[in-house]
Amino acid sequence: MPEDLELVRALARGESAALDALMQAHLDALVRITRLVAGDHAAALDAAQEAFIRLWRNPGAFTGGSLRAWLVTVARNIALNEHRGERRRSGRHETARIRVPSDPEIRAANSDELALVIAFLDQLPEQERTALTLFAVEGMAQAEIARVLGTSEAAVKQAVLSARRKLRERFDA
Amino acid sequence: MQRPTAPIGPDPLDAQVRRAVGSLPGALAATRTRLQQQFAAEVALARRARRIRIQAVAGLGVAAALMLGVFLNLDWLRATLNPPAPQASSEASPVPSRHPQPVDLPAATPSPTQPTPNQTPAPAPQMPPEEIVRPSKPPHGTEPQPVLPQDPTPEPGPVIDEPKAEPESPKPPEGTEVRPETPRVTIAHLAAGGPKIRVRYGQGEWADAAPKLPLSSGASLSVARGQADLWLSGGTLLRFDGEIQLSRVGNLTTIGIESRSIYADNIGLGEPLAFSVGDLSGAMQSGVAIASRDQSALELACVHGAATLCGESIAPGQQRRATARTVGAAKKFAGSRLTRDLPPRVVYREDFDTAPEGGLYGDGEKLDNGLLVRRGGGNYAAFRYNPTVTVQPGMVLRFRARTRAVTQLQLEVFLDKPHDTTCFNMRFRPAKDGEWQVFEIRLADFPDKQNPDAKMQPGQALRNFKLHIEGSDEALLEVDWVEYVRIQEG
Repeated sequence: MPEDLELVRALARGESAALDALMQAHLDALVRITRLVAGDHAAALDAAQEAFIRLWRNPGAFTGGSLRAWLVTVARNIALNEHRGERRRSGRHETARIRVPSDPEIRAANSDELALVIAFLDQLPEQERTALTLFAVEGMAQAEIARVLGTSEAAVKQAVLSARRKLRERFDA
Repeated sequence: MQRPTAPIGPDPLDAQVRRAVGSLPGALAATRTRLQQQFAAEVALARRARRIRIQAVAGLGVAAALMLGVFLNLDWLRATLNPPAPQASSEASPVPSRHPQPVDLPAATPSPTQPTPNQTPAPAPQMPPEEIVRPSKPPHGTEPQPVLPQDPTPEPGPVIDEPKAEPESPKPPEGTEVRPETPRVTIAHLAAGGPKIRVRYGQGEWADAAPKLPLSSGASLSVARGQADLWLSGGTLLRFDGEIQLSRVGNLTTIGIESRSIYADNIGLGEPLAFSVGDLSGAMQSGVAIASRDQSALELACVHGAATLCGESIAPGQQRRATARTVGAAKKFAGSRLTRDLPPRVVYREDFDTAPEGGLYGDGEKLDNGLLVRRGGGNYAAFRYNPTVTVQPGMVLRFRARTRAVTQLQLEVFLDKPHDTTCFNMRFRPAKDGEWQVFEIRLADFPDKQNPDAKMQPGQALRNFKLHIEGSDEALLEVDWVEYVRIQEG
């Protein structure tokens, strides 16, 4: 959006009001999307925060188009890199245990239907759940999602359809 | 020519996903505040840096002009001083002096290149004192504070009499305008979360420490309430509930205990530790210990491995107390609250970035881009540990793997004991085909193949990891990593 570009330029000039406006417009959504990528809220907060920091430190990197897509791309890369790094470092740090619960376990633990959807989303491959989230929640075009994921439009379509199919299978089970 | 992809049609499921994602929590107020603070700090810092650059450029300009003036005056002086010299002495001062020369100068005025003691050297471009970056005060996400005149840090340069008459004094360090940060080697990191921790270096001011803060030798840490965890760079876990100081020489990390206690776990890490209270010291090569300060005494308890206190050994389950006069007899370790709810602790890990130290031995297996890969039912992927892994209480074996067309996996681990063929064996079915999964097995539940009622016991040494594939010829097994983790200690 043109106003996003203006706000980013104001951010580059050090105007804190621009930061407030950008946070107001994008931060919550960014955290929610990144939560699905990162798998947990704390990691999503870190990645979203880092994406904003990178925006003001290098405002020239955003040259227009959808700022939301730009932020999601950066935050997603940060979250994925952090996850890889965590795996590598886990010999020296706390191990993030990934546990894949069975469907009955999920159903028992999540009486709330929305939480159930999130739990099912969490079990999808990362590319599929991010593609579906950007498509269904953000309403992004296939081309834009393809840029965020660094893949083709055809692959995006396949990922979204596959994610829907798997979710439906789980709900029907 | 590439055909355009047909658009994705709507689906009722999308609305459900939209609602679910919308129900997730957004950013915390603290996140916004932190971003605002950091932004404000960085903007202030950038403005300050810009101002410094402008001042530096202006200073250089002034210096260049003065140098030019000196050069011109020299030529002029040579012309006018020959002879008589006294005529030029009062006018041809090579640099503007803040201390006016007396009118009754002696006849033999020194040459312009040899300034008198009263002369002030040419004002070189210099940083005002408040612009000097002090390594002893690392910024913690806030704007660096100006250095006040009463700052106790020793400062090179002349001593200035009070009150200061000239803002240009004292001189900056030789040849530099901004002192760079002294490079520091990170020897530890604070853990994420936990109670509020304060940190300082030397006699600097205490500052709140951020989670995961890197620490260098000389760091003092203090926690007022609760217990704080940190990890040394070699993997040692430390937990303390008072005040400690970290220092490292070579690979030896010494923990000075200023108050209360510290828990340390460096089993199998090759990262020796020393504990000190005043002149008293204890040491541990590999093990779990708890060191405490009681006034001027040092108490050291050994939970696992072996430790020494002032040269006297302490066996596992024992503790001793040292004072300036004596080292007390060993007593039974009374326990410590520092051992409760410890974070998971990785004891052994294989990432397959390179071949395992003990070597692969599954015929036909290979390492591919950080994965251990094996194909075909009836085959297996296997490697040996080096060194062996010793079973400890609360330990689990974890590995991350992906399978395709595998009906079952069978895990076998052998004891590392001569003439003992004991094999622990477990068979299980991967729940998801083609997806990465983490498998976790409590060693206390790992049955002996010949006698399933017998399970692994603490102290047993294990020598290998062997994963049999059951399935068709198309079956594929990929292992990303294998690790042994101690979930709880003490």
